[in-house]
Amino acid sequence: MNGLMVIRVLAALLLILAFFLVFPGGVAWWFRESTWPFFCAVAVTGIPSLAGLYFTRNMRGELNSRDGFMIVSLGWLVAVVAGAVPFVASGLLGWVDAIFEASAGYTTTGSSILTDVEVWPKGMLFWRSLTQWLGGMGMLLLALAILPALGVGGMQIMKAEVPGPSKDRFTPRLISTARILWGIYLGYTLLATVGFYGVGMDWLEALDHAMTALSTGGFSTRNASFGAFSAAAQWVAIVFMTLGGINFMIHYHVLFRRNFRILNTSELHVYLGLIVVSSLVIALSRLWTHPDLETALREGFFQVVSIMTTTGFATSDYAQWPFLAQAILGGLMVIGGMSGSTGGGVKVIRVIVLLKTVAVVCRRLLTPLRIIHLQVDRETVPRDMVEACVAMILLAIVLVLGSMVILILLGMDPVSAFGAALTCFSNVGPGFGTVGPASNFAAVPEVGKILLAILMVVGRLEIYTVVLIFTIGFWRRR
Amino acid sequence: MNVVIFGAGLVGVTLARHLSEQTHNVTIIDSSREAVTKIQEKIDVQVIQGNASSDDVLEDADIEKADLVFAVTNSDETNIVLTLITHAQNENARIFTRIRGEQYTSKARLWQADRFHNTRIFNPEQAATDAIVQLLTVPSAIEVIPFPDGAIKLAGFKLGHESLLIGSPLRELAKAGRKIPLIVAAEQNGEVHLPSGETVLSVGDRVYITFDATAVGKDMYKLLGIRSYGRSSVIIVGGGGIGVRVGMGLSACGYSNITFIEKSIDRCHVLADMFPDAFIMNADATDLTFLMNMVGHPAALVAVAGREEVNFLVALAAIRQGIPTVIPMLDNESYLALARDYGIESAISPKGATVGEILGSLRKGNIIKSAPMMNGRLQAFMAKIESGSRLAHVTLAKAKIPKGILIAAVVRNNRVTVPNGATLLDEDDHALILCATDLVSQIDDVLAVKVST
Repeated sequence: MNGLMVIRVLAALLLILAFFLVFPGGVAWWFRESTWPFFCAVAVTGIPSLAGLYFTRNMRGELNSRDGFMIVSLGWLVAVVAGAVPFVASGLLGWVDAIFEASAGYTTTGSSILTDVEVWPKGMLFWRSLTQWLGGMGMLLLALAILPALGVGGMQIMKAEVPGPSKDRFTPRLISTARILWGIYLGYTLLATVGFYGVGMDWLEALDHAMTALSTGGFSTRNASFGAFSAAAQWVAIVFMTLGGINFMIHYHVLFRRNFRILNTSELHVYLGLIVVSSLVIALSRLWTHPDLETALREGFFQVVSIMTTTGFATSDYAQWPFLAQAILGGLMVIGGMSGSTGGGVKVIRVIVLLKTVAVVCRRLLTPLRIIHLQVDRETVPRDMVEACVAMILLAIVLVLGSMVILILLGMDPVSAFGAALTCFSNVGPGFGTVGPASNFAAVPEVGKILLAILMVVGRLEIYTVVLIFTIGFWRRR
Repeated sequence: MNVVIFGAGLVGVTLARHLSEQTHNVTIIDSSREAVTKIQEKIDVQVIQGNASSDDVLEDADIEKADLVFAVTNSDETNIVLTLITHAQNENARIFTRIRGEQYTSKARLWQADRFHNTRIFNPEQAATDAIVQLLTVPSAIEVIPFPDGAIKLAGFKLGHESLLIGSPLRELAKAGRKIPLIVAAEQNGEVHLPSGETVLSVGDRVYITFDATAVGKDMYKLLGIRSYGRSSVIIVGGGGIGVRVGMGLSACGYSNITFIEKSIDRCHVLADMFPDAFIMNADATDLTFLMNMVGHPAALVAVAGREEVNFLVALAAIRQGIPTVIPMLDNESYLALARDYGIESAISPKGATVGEILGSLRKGNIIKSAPMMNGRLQAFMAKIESGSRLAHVTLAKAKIPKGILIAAVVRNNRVTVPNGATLLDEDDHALILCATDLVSQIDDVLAVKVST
């Protein structure tokens, strides 16, 4: 392990976080709120960062994949702690709550322990949204994009931080890939801001929600989440959440290369198909009690897109919906967005691979001598990738059920415990029961909050990155 | 004609024998002394042992005076180089080059270059593949000869017990209101002849009929007394290069259920990548109990494994199992001769398919396509009638066509008709001409454009 290089990259990450902490400070200053928490946070992150960069200034070297996993895991830990500083410094939250809130931010989960967000200062709310925006595309990837001077093997970082089983760079240089990804992301965010502003939000709320919609985060500045805004605003949010849940490589090919063949990908078809079918089924199931067609459709689409892309905005309390609708939402929570998107969950492609694996196993049982390859889009999926996908889903189930058991032992009821574990692992936001869309995580015991915060980071980094660090093999020399 | 052949492999030797039988001066060059001595004992050709690209050897072979050159060594690259050398030394020679690699054959623009304008490339394996695919496009046929337009096909069938064509002379059947197809040739008791109104067909006769491929219907099969198994499923034994090409060809023309049987596991994985929808079975096809359990009721079995013995054996097993169309790939002449005795009607020979076609295309006149049929006993030509030839502007009765040559069908405006003595051929008509293989040289007289008088 190249320890000093790891420190250098982490210091660079802190520098970027310190830079971004200036913006909510600016918002606070504009609205004549207290800027002290942000001064404090900039100092706490900036000083160690500059010190770290200074002491490692002569370091150059290669990063291997272990360093990559180490950097990403530690990086997210450092970011969560640094992100909690303003909350604590303002005196609004204790450390545990602040850490929970910060990790719900960076991991784009959007679960909150706040019972009343509307009384919070605007600068603080802006910082919540900004953490989600940074975490959505990955702040280490951002560090790579704006600080090429780091001069490190960024592929390792990209591998560990970008979700999905396969990571293609689509330009010869990784730095330009990172820049393109962040560029598209920024462009969509600005577009969404204009869209929200156009349908009646004020500019700050438009920007806050644009950042949390594109990153599929789900923090809102209102207690009623999107229920506080007009129908038009909800439709705009549906569009941008859906875009956020699509692989950004597809955005790149369509927008910049005019390559429309890439739309012919089964992952995209399954993703969009699931959204449309689930929304229609839910809308239909609610028509019995809810005679207004537009509302039923809008609420159906909004909730399905919000859950499937793992955003977690709410317009109505789905806990009151028919059981069928809730069951569908629970399933979508597990699946999540596409690989290479800002969404969470186990990703559509892994579910496709898992189902195809089942089909292949069945066919092998029927005709033992038959040679069958698992193919997606006419491309054979290599065996190691199939194994990684299946094992990841298995690990996800174990983690969610394990966390559920611990939460039950801590005194939660089973439905809420399951909902909380699943929603945090998948980075969705609202769960079921006492952590449903109408309530929040304030009542979860302190130990449970820490557990859920860890679960969020593990889910965001797709398990392996974090789990690896706790294996003996990781620390053994080669 | 002076003919130079580079490479004394199977194709080279077969070409040499046929051409020397047609009294051409043939020189054959090969680097292997053993191969060269063997040929000298068997056929009447000049043989040179040595490196074909060396100046001495080329001078000995009189490459400058050659009319026809074949580059049929084992290596594509050598063949290409020999083609270029020949062209440099003798611009007028017609050159036939065997190229197997798809990386070369697919480069259409390369072969359109000036230096290749006298060159024709051919690929026996591709020819065999095409033949197999063509055969399977007409269900239950024993032989299919396609013509370039694609619409018109010549196919052979073995008459079944319930055929409506057997028992009485064809003329009587026609009078009785039966719709008689265009029978251009028939093989009865081992003898090939061209049927007339008096011909009486019987069960087991092989008849060759010309028809519009778009209009193959139940009626035709009813007349022939055989079942059409349609394009349900096909088994391909052997997943090598030819097997893959056959599989591609068949899935392109509507066979949805393809099963490969391949012995090598590595090869199976390659196949599984290429044919996601096919059944890839990793097994030895010579394990007959396995084969019997496996096959079920496919419409056809194609045996294109690397070893001919395997193909032969598998084909026999498949026929016993009652598979209607069984196509083994065989190149060994003794096996080919044996095949029919054992009920294998449709063996495909890569060598036969190409050599026959090349020899046919050497004829004069505007021949669009030529193909051997009935195991090479007949040669079929599709020719365009040109003004000045013996056929143009006269009725067939007056055209003085030598015996043994038959104008089997005339294609005018994409419609097929059977000509009779009163038929008048015009320029731009296409004629389907059948001719006994030993009489092919007389085709020249019939089709060639007379320059004077």
